[in-house]
This record gives sequence, C-alpha cells and structure tokens, in this order.
Amino acid sequence: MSDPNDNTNLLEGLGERSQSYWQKAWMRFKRHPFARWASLVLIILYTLALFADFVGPYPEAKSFRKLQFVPPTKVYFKTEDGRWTRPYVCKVERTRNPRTFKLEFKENCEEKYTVYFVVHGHPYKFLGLVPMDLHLMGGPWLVEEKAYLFLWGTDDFGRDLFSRIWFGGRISLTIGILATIVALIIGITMGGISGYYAGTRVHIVRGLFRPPQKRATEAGEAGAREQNGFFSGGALAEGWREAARERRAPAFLAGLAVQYAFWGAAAAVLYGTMQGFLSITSGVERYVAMLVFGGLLAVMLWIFLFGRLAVDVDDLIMRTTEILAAIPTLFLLIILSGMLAQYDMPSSTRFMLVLTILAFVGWGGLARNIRGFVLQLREMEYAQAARALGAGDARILFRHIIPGTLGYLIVVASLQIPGYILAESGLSFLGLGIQEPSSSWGLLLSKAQQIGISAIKERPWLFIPGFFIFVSILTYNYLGDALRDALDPRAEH
Amino acid sequence: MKKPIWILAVLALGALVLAQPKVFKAPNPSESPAYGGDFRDVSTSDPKTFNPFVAKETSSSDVISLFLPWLTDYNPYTGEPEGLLVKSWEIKNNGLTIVFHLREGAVWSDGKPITADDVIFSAKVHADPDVGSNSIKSFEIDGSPIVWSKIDDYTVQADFPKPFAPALIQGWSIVPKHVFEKAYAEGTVTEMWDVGTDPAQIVSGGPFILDQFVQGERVVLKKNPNFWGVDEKGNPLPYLDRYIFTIVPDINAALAKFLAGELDLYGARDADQVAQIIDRIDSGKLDATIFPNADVTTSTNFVFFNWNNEDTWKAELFRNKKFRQAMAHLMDKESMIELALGGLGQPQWSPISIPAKAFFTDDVAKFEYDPAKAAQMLAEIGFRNKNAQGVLVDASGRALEFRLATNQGNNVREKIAQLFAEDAKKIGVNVKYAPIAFNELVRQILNTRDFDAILIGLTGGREPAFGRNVWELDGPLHMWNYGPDFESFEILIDKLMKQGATTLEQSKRREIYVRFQQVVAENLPLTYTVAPAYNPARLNKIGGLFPKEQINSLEGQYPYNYPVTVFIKK
Amino acid sequence: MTAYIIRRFLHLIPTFLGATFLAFLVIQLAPGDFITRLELDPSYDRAQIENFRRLFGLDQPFTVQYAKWLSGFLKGYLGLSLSYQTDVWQVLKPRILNSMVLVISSIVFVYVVSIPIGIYSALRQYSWGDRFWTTFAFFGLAVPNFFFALLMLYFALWLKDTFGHEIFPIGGMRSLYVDGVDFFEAPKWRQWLDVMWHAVLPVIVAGTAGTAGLMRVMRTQMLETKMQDYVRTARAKGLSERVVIYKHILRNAVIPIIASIGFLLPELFGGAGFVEVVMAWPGLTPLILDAIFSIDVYIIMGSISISVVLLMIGNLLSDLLLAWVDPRIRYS
Repeated sequence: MSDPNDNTNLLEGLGERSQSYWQKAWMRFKRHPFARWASLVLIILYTLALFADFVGPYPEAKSFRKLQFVPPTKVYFKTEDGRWTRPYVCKVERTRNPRTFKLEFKENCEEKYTVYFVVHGHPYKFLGLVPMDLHLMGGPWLVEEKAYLFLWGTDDFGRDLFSRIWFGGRISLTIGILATIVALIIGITMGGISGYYAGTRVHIVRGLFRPPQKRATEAGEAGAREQNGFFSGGALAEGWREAARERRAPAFLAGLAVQYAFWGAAAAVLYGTMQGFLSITSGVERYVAMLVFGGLLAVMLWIFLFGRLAVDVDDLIMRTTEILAAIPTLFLLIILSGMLAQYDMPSSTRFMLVLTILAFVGWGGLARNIRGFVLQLREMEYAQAARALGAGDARILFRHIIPGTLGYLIVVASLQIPGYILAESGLSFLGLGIQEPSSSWGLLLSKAQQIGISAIKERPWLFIPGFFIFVSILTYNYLGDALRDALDPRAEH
Repeated sequence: MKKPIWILAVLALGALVLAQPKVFKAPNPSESPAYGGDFRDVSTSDPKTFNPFVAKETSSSDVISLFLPWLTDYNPYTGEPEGLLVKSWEIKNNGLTIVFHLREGAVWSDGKPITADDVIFSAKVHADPDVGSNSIKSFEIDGSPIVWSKIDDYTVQADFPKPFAPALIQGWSIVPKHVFEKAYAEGTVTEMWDVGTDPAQIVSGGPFILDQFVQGERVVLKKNPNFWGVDEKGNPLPYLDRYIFTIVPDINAALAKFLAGELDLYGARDADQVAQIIDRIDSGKLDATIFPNADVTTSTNFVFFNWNNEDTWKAELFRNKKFRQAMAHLMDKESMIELALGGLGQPQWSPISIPAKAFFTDDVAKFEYDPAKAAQMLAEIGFRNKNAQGVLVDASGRALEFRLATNQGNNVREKIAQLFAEDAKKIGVNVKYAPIAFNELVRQILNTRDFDAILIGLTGGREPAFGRNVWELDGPLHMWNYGPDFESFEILIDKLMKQGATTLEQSKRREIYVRFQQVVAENLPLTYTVAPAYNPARLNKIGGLFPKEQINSLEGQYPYNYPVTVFIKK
Repeated sequence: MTAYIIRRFLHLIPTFLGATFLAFLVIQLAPGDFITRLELDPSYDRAQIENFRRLFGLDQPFTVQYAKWLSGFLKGYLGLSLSYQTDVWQVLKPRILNSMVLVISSIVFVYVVSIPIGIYSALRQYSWGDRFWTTFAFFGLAVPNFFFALLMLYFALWLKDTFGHEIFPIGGMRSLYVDGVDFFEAPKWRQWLDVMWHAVLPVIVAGTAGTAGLMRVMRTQMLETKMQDYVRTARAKGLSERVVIYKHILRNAVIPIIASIGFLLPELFGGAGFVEVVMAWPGLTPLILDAIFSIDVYIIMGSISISVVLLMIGNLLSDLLLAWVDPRIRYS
C-alpha cells in the first residue's frame, strides 16, 4: 500500500542529501512495529464501509419478519460425498419449539443455492447518487428470497448483520474523524485567537460618563478642562473619538449597540430573577438576597454610567475552557446528548448533533495546548517577519503560526479519534446515539447488550460489532503511537 | 431457636387484640401453610420515599401499601369490592352516601388503635392540593369534593357529589394520625418518612413492617405481629418472617438471579426468557414452574392520528373512518408479536385491557392484517394512482404520506412502528418512522399538536371508569382530537363513559362498556396493536400462590396485592 | 505561597459559577421537565399537573430556580431531589460511598499494576515483553467498558456453571446472607470480605482502561527521562546502572505521576462509570443516569457541583504537590 509514497520519497530523497523533518518522520513511522499493520487494517475497514452497498448482500434496513436471530448461514464448499464444489448455501427455516420455546433452525439442503461473486442483486444508489445493483456475493435466489445469505446471522429485527456492520462502519468510522475535525477547527480557532491576542484588551462596555473620581484627579491637570465635562469625557466619548480618528465609526456603533443590548438584557434578567427569587423567599435569606441582588444591579448601573470594562480575549477563552473542563467529561457528554437528543429530528441531523456534542466536549483541551504553541511561535522570527511585511493577523495566524503546530495536531487527532469512537458506543449504550433503522457499531453492540448475558452463549454473532469497535480503536491507537514516535522532534533514532 | 414460643405469643396476642379480624382466603385450600422464612421478590427501581403523600411511582407505592392499609380493594377471586380495614359498609341516599364500619381492634405497630380519626386525617391530607398527593383524585368527582366525616371512633361516612360506580374502591393509604399530625400542622408533611428515615420510626398498620432499606440494593420488610388479618382457620397472618425486595434495574440481571435460585418469583418478558427458564428447569438446575402465556398484561400500544392537524388535507384524511380502518388492515399483528414482543402476546382490538374480564369483550369489529383490502379501501377514498416514487396519490395529485412518531428507547414500540411503516410502504403509503424522546412526544401531543400519527401506550387497569381522561370530550388525554369539531361517535363514547362511571349496577355497566368497546373498535380513534403476554414463574418451594387457572396479570401470582397468603414450604 | 493559594481559591469562584450555571442551562435545554412524564398518565388531570409544577417550583423562570439552588448551596444544602422529595445529599451519600469502594480499589489496582509494568517496558524498550505489554495496554483501551463488564458477568456465570458454585458473584455489591445470617447481622469483617469479593470483577473492569493509560504514561516518562543530560552525566560519573535507574531516572520520571494524584480527588466522588450499571453495583452512576433521564435537576446539580469543587481543589493540590516534589517549581 505504501509503494507510491515510497517512490516519491525516494525521488525527493535523491535530490537532496539532508532529509526534511517529514522524511525523517516517515522513516521513523515505518520502523514502528505495528504501524504498517494498523494502517493496512484501517484502510481495509474504510474501503469496506465505503462500498457497504456492494459488500453487503442486503440493503441496510431490509428485514425478514420470520427470520429474527438466525445464526450465521453455513457456506458449503464440498458436496455431501466430499467433492469440492462452488460455494453454496441451503435454505434455513426457523421455528419456535412449542414446549421449550427455543428457536430451532432447520437446514433444508434438497436444493443448493450457489453463491456467485460480483453479481446483480438488490438495487441501491452508490453514495446516494449512482444507481447500481452489483453486489460482492449473491445470486438470483437471494433477491427472490428462496434462500438467504446471512454470513454473520441476523439481528433482533431479522436484518442481515453482515450488511449492517458495513453500513454501521460508515457512521462509526467517520464520526470519530469528523468530530476530531470539528474539535480541531474550534480548538485551533479559539486557541489561535487566544494565544495570538493574549495581552490585548477589548472593551466590552464603555460607560456614558466620565467617572467622578477620575474627574476629581484630573481636575487640576492642565488642558484637561475641555475634555473633562460630565458629558463629554466618558469612556464612550473617548472610544468614539478614537473610532472616528481611525475611520471605523460604523463598526464602533454596531459594537456599542451589541454591548448595550447584552448589558440591558443581562440587567433585565437579573432584575426578573431578583423579583422571582424574593417572591418565594423569606427570612434572613431574603435580606441577604436583597443585598446581593441590589449590589449586583448597582455595580451594573455603575459600569453602565461610568465604567469601562475591558477584557483580555485570551482570559475569556481560557476561562471558558476551564469551565468546560470543570464539568466531568462523561457527564457533560451524557447531559448534552440526553437533553438535546430529545428533540425531534431526522437521523442525519441526529448524526450531526452527536458529532457536534462530541466535538464540543473535546475542544477545550486542544485550545489550551494550541494557545501554548501559539504563544511561543508568535515570537518566532518568521512570524515577526511576516508582520513586518504587512501581513494581516489572520494570515499570520493561519499561514505562518498554525502550520508550526501540525505535527502535534496530527498526533492529537489520531489519538482523539478512537476516544470518539468509544464515546459514540457509550452514547448508544445509553440509547442516546444513532437511532434505528440507521446503524452504527455502537448501536448494534448496544442492541446485543440489551439481550444480556444469555446472548453471549446463544447468539454470539450479535457481538461481532463489538469486535469491530475493538479493532478500529486498537488500530487507531497503534497509529497514534507510531505517529507520536515519528513526529516527535526530539526523537533521535 | 425460640421461634415456636414467639409464634405462640403472637397467636395469643392475635386472639386477644383482634376482635374483628379480616379473613384472607388462600388460593389453594389443599395446601397446609407453614410459618417462617424469607420471601424474595424483585423490583426494578428503588422506592423513592415511604411517604404515601409523596409517592408518585409504583416502586414506592408498592412498598408503602405493605405497611399502610387501605379501606377497601377488589376481591382477588370475584373482582367485587371488598373491605380491608373496613369490616362492612352501608350504601344510603341512592349511592350518594356510604358509611364505612372499621375493624375494631386493629392497631398500628406501635400499639395505638387504628380509628376513624386516622382515616379522616389521611383523607384530609390526601385531598390538600398544597401537599400534592397522588391520590387527590380519589377525593373529588369532576371538581366537586367527596366529603369524609367521622360518625364515631370506628365509623366514617363519605358523601359523594354524584353517583360514582367505583365509589366502594377506596385504595389510598391511611397513615397514623399521631405520627403525621404535627408535621402536617407545620406544613412539613412531605418531609416525613423519606428514604433516609430510620425504618424503626416507620409505623405499620399493614401485614409488614419496614426493616431495612439499602439504597439501590434491597428493601426488607418483616412481619407485623399486630396485623389485623387471619387465614380461614383463624391463624394470624402473614406466614412469612420477612419479605425482601432485591432491587435489580436490569431485567436480564433479574432473570439471571431467578435462574440462580436467588429470587422466588419472576415474570418472564418474552419467549427467550421463557425458554431460558424452561431450559434450566429441564436440566434439573432449578426447581421451579413457569406458566408461559398465562395471561396478557394490561399495557397497551396503539396508534392515533392528529385530527387537529394544521394541514387541513391531512386532518380531513385522518378523520376519515375508512382511512383509519385501512391503516388497521396494515397491522401485521402476528409479526408484531414475534418481533416486537419476542414471541408471546395477543392482538388487541378494543380499549379495555384483556385481563379486565368483568368488562372486556372480544365481540368487536376486527380489521385483520390484509394489505390488499387496505389498498382497496384507500382506492375507495380516492387514492388510486401512484406517483414516480411509488406513493399513492389522490385526484389532486397529493401523495399519501405521514410521519409516525414513537418514543425512542422503547424497543417494543420502535419495532411495531417500523413494521407498520414497512407494510404501509409496500402498498404505497409513505409512513415516515421517527423515534422521539418521550418528553418531546408529550409536548407534541399536549402543546404543539404538530404531529401526524403517534404510536404510544397507556397502562390500563381493572376499572374502565378511570379511563375518562382519555375518552371524554374534554379529557386532557383525548389526544387525537381536542375539538371543537367532534365526530358523532366521539360524542357517543363520551356519553357512554359518563353513564358507565355513574351507573351502579354491574350488569348494566358491563353492557355500557361492551357498547363502548364496539364503538371504539369500529371507529378506531385509537388503533390498538398488540399486548405482551404475562409469563409468571416461581420456585416450587413457595406456597400460597394462585394455581395456573387462577393466574391473571391484574392480581399477579398471589392474591391481595401483598403476600399474606404466601408461605415457604417446609 | 499563602497568597498564591488564596488567589487560586478566588479564581475558583467564577469557574464554579460558570460551570454550575452552564450545567443548569444545559439541563433546561431539554424539552419538558420532571413532571412531563406524568402528563400522559390517565390518572392525572391538568390541574393536578400544574399543581405539581407549582409545588416543585418548576413554574418559576429558570434563573430564579438557579438562584434558589445557589443560595441553598451556599448554605450547605444541595437542594431537594424532585423524585425523592428529600435532601439531595441524603440520596447521594450512600451511592457515593458505594462507588468509593470500587473507585479506591481500582485506583490502587491501577497504580500497583501499571507503574512496575511501565518501568519494565521502558527499560526494555521494543523487547518482546514491551511489545506484549503495549499490546495489552492497547487492548485495555480499546474495549468499551460496558461490553467488558458484560463479558465479565458471563465469565462469572461460566465459572459457576463449570465449577458448580459461585467463584465470583454475578453482579451486585452485597450478598443477601453471609454465612447463613442476614448480611447486616454478620460480623463487620465478614461484611467487608463479602463486599470485596463482589468488587473483584468490577474493579478489573473499571481499572483496565486506567491501567493501560497509566502504563503508557509511565513508559513515556521513563523514556524521556532516560535521555536527559543529567542521566548521561550520572552514567559518565561511573555510577552503577542500578543507581542510575532508581536514583536518577525513576525518581524524576515519577514526579508528574505523583503530582497527578490530586486529580484523583473528584474521581473519588464521581462514580465508577458504566460498569456500575451493567454489574448492578449500587453506585452513583446508575443514580445519575436515572436523574438525567427523569430530569431530577437537583440530583444532577448536586453531583456536578461536588465534582466541580473537588476538581478545582484537586487541581490546586496537584500544583502544590508538584511544587513540593519538584524543587525546580516555585509559586509566588
């Protein structure tokens, strides 16, 4: 699988003696004992999931009412007299024993159904676009339902587990990547802004009037008089003069409108809360509450009239991540999905929602780390040089600084993906993840789990999705481990 | 040990105190009961409180009813009203007044007598809206209060504002006034007897006394030696020393416990569980008996349509009786039982729970699974052609499609809905299946009214009059149609329900409810699907349980709601 | 130092307010409330439902509910559980204690198992032993916790069927009877023994992922320390390999791990996770899940606020510990 890559690397390597960072990393990656195997397995899994329609003999939601919990169909390679032949299957009938209530399956081999490869079957639209009906395995008997091909048995709704696993793989294997990407986007943006603008203060509120104590102290200063009127010298006026000078008056006014709208709304909510709270409270608590609420409102009023509230964006973002980190992750995940997943939505939206929730829970740590990198990198010569050349902030940040963190980001991504796959299965276990008739490995496993211990003995095939979760996480962990070894700049060998 | 002496003491005490004991009839007279032993039952969740004014779920009220008595209940053998704490009653004033005579000599476990004061006090607290008792509905009819008054220490009188058929069923917990009085006066009655209360402080007037409560693990009750009940031979009850609820939230874990012989009773959920139990019995590892398909449970699952749909085309369609009948023809109840209920259950056609034998009738219109018939009926109401997607369209070209929502996480309903949607698609009705969280479903039904069709269930019971909130025109759960335009059959149902609730004579009541079931089954405001089977299992060492032919899901495996007749075979 | 600690404590206030308010807000995002599930019960009518809302304070705007909760919290009262109608702490306490049995045992299990293996793996990097333990660690990280718990239950059942008696119990935390008498009447040491016997399999499940993680951390730490200059200096001085490993490498490698002990504080009060649900351990997790699904706001809030406070104290402790064990770090 690595041949084409190898070639390009070799060619590049011929051109210059010294190997670049990435070439060294690639060499180190290849040396990791399991990296190749892990990559190979992942590529196979993704390919099979991508071609799920083709690989699976049945459509995702196709159910057979009389065939619930059918064990894997036996595929025969030899005839009764022991001669090798083309693979074939027999028809299976399912009955429930009226006395023991056990399911009994009888194979009827009077007629043999040959399994053909790459054959026409149930029609589908490949990737939702191209109408096709080619399947990896099957035969006319499969479409006519004369016999069945359930390589890994059927589930509690009489659906082919083999097919559903590949369809489910689409969701399980992509949800981790997409959630990581979303988390990275939020994390990079927030961490980048936070690190880049650390130390810069942004006004969130400008008072209307000049603070009295300031007027008093400045009263004696020479030339202060014309700027020092009660109405003329507020932080607001100051900001306005500054904005007018820099020709960004509209932006200033818009910002001002937002500030006051927010401030007004906050005050209104606080006032409403106070009224509601006092109406249901009595005794000492009531007086303390009056003091606290009154104090808060007074402070708000003071700030509104005289104040000038500027914050460091860095502070704001970092406090937010701290707050997110303070709530236990699993908890936040469950509450968010438990509460949000209650709304009525189609399954595609639900997929996006689960993904966003996963990402939302995961971005904080990323942002903190990226901020750390950015704080270092923004002082580097190349970033300073770019600034000297007149590049905009966004350009410096995203073209010059962020790429410097790439090695770290790749490692983090490869280690976060398995975490998300696991989290998705956890949500499914609670019934908060993907919903039927769609499928995901987590959902399939949770359905098996619901049947309980007895299923392990009597219907072990239902747990095959668990194996896939296991394998995908395992391979991602190996991959991440290899990448970390490979991309670590301190690595010597 | 010291047991025989202790029993003798109890016997002596019982003979002394119980002037008018209640006789509890054993289900199987040929058995000879023995005293002693622990009876091990299972509950899926913790009791949340031991305070009857706070309890909102069966996990709490089931435990509370073991130590706080009721006035009356249904007789487990006849279904007629029967006195518990009440010895007898007189009906006066055309049924508007009932005088209840209490058992003299009944005492609380702390030795104080149970008197009319306790009854009147309990009624007052239950009826107080500031307390928020679940039983508040037992104290009013259509907004007018039922007035309880004390005649003498052992006689109370209830005055009803209008005749009320189930008036004799007074199933609310009576608390000891001397314990609760002070808290009620101080407005802290809901803080009494919470899960942190020391069991020793909880006073019992029922067959058992709370002994231990370990959160998330078990509730242990021990026998109340002062209980006012005896068996037919006059021996004091209960026979059991202790009654233990193990709390096992997971139904599979509960099964594992039963299979391991750690539980005395179990209700198998589906054919798979039945098979596991039978397998265990057959292999000789478990000495137990199971009765598969002995009865049907009272839980129901039905589909209803939104007649108030904002889309008038849809509203009109849903109001069309023929449309609903066609939809009923699309319900493959056999597959629903097999796939959704796990193999055991019965199709349901009428609104009264099948086990409520006193009122249930099978003589109703049945729209059996018949997709061809459904297609034909749809053609009759104008859906003759199909569009490019294979969906039926009417003359104006409008496609026949609607959303069917059900509560997510309920495996049974999710599967029923999917089966129905699949069958409907086959004849060209595009049913879009949508699993929704329960609370959101409630919001859509009660507030926003923006649904097409919903599959949901209500738990039925023995008394059809308690379904008034669903069936009367102004009922809060008249979910398919909140008016103002009502069909004539709805008005008829409303009339029948009102009649049924106020008629006192049983044979006439049955007639009314039979008619009610026929009207509903014919017009299908709710289209019923399937009801799961009741498959009770028990260890063979347990006696005093119903024999096979008497088992019904309303009563459970033993009579009288609490295991007074149950004993451990020696 | 004192000033630093005070400043850190002051810092906790906005974080605490932010985190609890956020949690409260998220809970409010759900459609419906605690009472909604009663609305489809035919035995209630509208007036009764509205009355319940009034009695439970659910008719108030949510900011008022939050303020009321916060005011209670400041008085040391975690609120009134809606489903239990009693002090939240009353409900949480026994569950937290039950969970602690699992959590403490599994923490001990994690540290005892993973540190030696991590050291071994690092000293013999890329040996077969290292590969085996790496694989083992990744296996541990890759199994969904709840699935592993089910496998363990099956294992216990299999043992029972094979050997005819219970080698390990099939779920739960206490036996009904110990040596023929009621559990609570048995001697204390017998009770403990019984609980520990029940805890064996859940601890293995709860500890596996942690063991795997810590094993990797320990290995990485050792490898990194091994390459430091002072280690090379020590070797150059001619110190024996034993002294180099134990005095120079191990001592320094273990520093961050010791420091991270502070982070364990909230874990002690946080429940052991899905394993409690699957193996019927009456811990905090099943209670919290129930509370989330029934929107019992104050149980959720009570548990979150305890976690938040402990997390913040734990972070502080970790920083202080780090300063204590690592002489290079000073806070001013």
